[in-house]
Amino acid sequence: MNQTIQDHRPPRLPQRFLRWYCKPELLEDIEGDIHEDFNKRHTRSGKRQAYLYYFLDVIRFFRPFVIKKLFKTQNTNTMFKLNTVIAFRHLAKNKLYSFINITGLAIGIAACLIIAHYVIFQLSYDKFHENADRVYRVHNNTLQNGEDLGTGFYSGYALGPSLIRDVPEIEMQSRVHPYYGGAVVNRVVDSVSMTPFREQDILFVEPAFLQMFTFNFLQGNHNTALNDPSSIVITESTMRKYFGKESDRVIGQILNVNGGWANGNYLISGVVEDFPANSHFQFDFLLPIERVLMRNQYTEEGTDWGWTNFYSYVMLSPQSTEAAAEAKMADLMHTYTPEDLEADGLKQTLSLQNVPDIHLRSEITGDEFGTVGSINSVYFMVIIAVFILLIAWINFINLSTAKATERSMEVGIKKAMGALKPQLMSQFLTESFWVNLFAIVLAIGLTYTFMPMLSEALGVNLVVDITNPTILGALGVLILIGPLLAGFYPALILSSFKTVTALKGRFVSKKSHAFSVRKGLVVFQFVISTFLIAGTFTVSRQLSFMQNQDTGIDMSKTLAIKGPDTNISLASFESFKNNMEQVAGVEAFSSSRSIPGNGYNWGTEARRSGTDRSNSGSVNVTWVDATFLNTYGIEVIAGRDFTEAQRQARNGMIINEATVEAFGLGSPEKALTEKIILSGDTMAIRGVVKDHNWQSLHKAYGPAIFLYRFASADFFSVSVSPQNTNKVISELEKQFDIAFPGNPVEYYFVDDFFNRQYKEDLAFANIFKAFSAFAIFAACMGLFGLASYSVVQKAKEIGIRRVLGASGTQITFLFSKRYLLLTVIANTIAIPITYFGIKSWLENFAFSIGITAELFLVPMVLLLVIATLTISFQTVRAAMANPVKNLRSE
Amino acid sequence: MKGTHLGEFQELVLLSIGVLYPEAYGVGIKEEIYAKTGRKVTLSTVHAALNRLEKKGLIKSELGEATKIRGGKRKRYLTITSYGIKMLSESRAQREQFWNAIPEIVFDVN
Repeated sequence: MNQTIQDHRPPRLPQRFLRWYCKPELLEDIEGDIHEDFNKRHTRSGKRQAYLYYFLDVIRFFRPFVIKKLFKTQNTNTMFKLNTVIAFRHLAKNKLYSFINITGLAIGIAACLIIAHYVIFQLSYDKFHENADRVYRVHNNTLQNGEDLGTGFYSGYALGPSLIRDVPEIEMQSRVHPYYGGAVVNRVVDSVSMTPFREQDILFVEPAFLQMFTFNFLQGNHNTALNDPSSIVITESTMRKYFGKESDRVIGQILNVNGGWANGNYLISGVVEDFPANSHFQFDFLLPIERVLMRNQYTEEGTDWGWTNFYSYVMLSPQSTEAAAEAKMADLMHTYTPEDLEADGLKQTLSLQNVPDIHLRSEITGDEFGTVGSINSVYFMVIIAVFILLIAWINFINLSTAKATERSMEVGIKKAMGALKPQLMSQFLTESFWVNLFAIVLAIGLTYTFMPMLSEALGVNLVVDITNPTILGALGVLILIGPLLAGFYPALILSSFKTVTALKGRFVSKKSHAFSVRKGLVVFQFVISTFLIAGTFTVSRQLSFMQNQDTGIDMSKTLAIKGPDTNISLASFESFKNNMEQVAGVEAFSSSRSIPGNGYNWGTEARRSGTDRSNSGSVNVTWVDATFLNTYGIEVIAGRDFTEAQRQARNGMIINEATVEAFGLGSPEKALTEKIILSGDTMAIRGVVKDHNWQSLHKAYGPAIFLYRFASADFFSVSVSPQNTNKVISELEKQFDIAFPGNPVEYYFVDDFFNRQYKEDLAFANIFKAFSAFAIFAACMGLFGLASYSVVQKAKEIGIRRVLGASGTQITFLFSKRYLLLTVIANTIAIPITYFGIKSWLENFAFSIGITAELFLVPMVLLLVIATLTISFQTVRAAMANPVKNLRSE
Repeated sequence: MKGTHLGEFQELVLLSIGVLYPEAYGVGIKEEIYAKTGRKVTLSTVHAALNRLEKKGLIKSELGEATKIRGGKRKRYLTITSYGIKMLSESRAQREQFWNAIPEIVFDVN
């Protein structure tokens, strides 16, 4: 220690840190000690060591006994406690106010939580696949002479292998061929068939399918499960259905699949866990694609690109990009089928869509499979959630400021005693905090209560999960932001009273600034309410319109029977038909390959005879028998219906009016003299039927053609006279079983079947209704609270008016007027917004109700009535009260 | 017992304060302990012990002169209180008792 020790400058940052956290009474001693040590070390071991140890020492002193009360916690704690006590007293004193405030907020928050669950679910589609980011579906966009014919995903079976060959970015691909029409499946034990079930969700896939997508194999192995052409992979619930209790060991068991595409016995090679609901495709069975490729339909020459029954998924290699792969595949169709495309004047472009995007942002213009979501509906839900939350917060703000008069005395006294503005604000913010906290707790309860109802309305099974990070985050934000956002303005108003005026109890300044903000907020709430009521009204009108609209097809008394899959022979068909026609109450019997609401059988191209191929347009074809049009009451406006006496070719085709239009055939009568080339075959036009809605009213009438087929096993339709329905049904079950043993019978009324297409629309309508109710309820609660406070404030005025002879009605009107004026203003603002909202929604439908004044008037009147009722609760009571009571005390 | 019991390190610190009398302070104590026992202790440990001892009333402190080497900060000089002396001697007496109670034969073993 004999060296002379120099003084050095210690590092600034740790020094400042030390000075910040250290208790003032200890600082000098500690800082001095560290400094001394620092200087000694500096001399002894150099600058770096000294700096390091200075830093370490400062960190090491960061101990409880050294750290000062950084946030003056003790003091704020007391204040917080005190403020809490005041807040609780206040809440308890004004029970109605507290109830309205807390419930209103809770409803708003609950609505947000529920919507958040829905949105999270929608966004989670297909994200559970490990390789989701590089699995794509192949899409095909078609242009004809420059006109966009839309984007689809079906292709011939040759596309898949050529993708692997021509696009090096693609690591693997799998073609998929759905089991169109479904099949009857039964378990086979010792060559004996067990109970058969009708199955729809069967897919033919390649082994790569199991690699690209993530399956959780309970039994079997995803690497080998589909390698054998006779193997079959089933889901867990399917396994339970067929094997019940013997589920533990089903590998190697036999299932017989019988539906026309690839009949035969299959050995179970794998059982996978049921797919989550948030997947764009669902399945119960997976079969090897070789089996369907063996069919004549696909082995004949020239079918490789022609039969577009397949679609493809591809997985890109990790380092390649979607754009690079798309660039190489875009013109692939022209490389392989140049002549066909050129002759038809078509330009086809292949592209990819990432699998997780399919659900919400499908590029497909035609039908998707599964439930289709749309990103717009997700945005829409988010907007509604924000609206509802805003309404709830506005309620809070309005009620708190409206109540200000009552608290002016309190504020005045506090100010006179020396309370500062920030202290007063913290008091009101504490109150806001507690109200928000209660509301959130209540909201979580409400969420649990209402979620089951909502998930039913939405048709999605949603389970409340408040441990979800996003939900937790949202709750956290609500707890932090809610009180500030909702409490800041009232706190500002309340704490800014001038001491003297406040003590005089006459706070409302002549400027009445607070009041106009409050009015503005009420107007805003009612704009939202009007919009939502009008929306609800429009949606339900449109839905009932769609369900009751005359489709041009008689569906209400027509019973459709799903045809058999096995044991079909012409003889059994004819005996079934004859027997059914004998049943009393059966007015007509028909067989067809499709029915209304089930789509068309064949989408192909056609042109008027005598024009060249570039004039082709797409048409949809359905095969029906001679009694079909009669059974469904489809009106023939020119020409004749099919007859059984004719052979197929001589029967020609029956077209609809849209076809006459599309191919320039002139009038229906003139069309009978023309011929149409349908996918290469020239056919005579036998008759023209009136346009009718074969598909949902979302879609406009399009060119549709009926072709004759003497007997079809896909659908049987029976027109039933209403009083005999039950008898016909029991007879039908009996006859079906006699004619087609081993086939489960499945039937429904065609109107019900047709209306199943509106499931999504109904779900949408239900959501809209539910949340509009939420919003309107919240808004009314706010109005109710406001009115009740204004009545309390004006109790004396009312008393005096009564004494001077005003009637109850006059007083009620006087007090309602102001609020009614607000709703009128709100309605005026809401009209244009609502107009655009309704207009853009109705554009989703080819057949819509159209925008009429009624769509605005009814909601406006309704809102006015609701608002009047809400207000008059208070105003009438005030007007009826004994004036003496209010005037007695001064 | 907390508050009256004298921990081993605290006793060491207390003894050092005695040794350094009347100029015992943080860095000095730290160095004294290192010199006598070879134990490298950090300043914060010493201060923590001093804090404890002062709270127990075993030592008292007063501020001394400022030096340049301390960045112009004053030292806090520590002295043992009479209670501290009492505790130290009690602790020593206890040990003596133990020492005296050990039979001689124990020392012969090695």
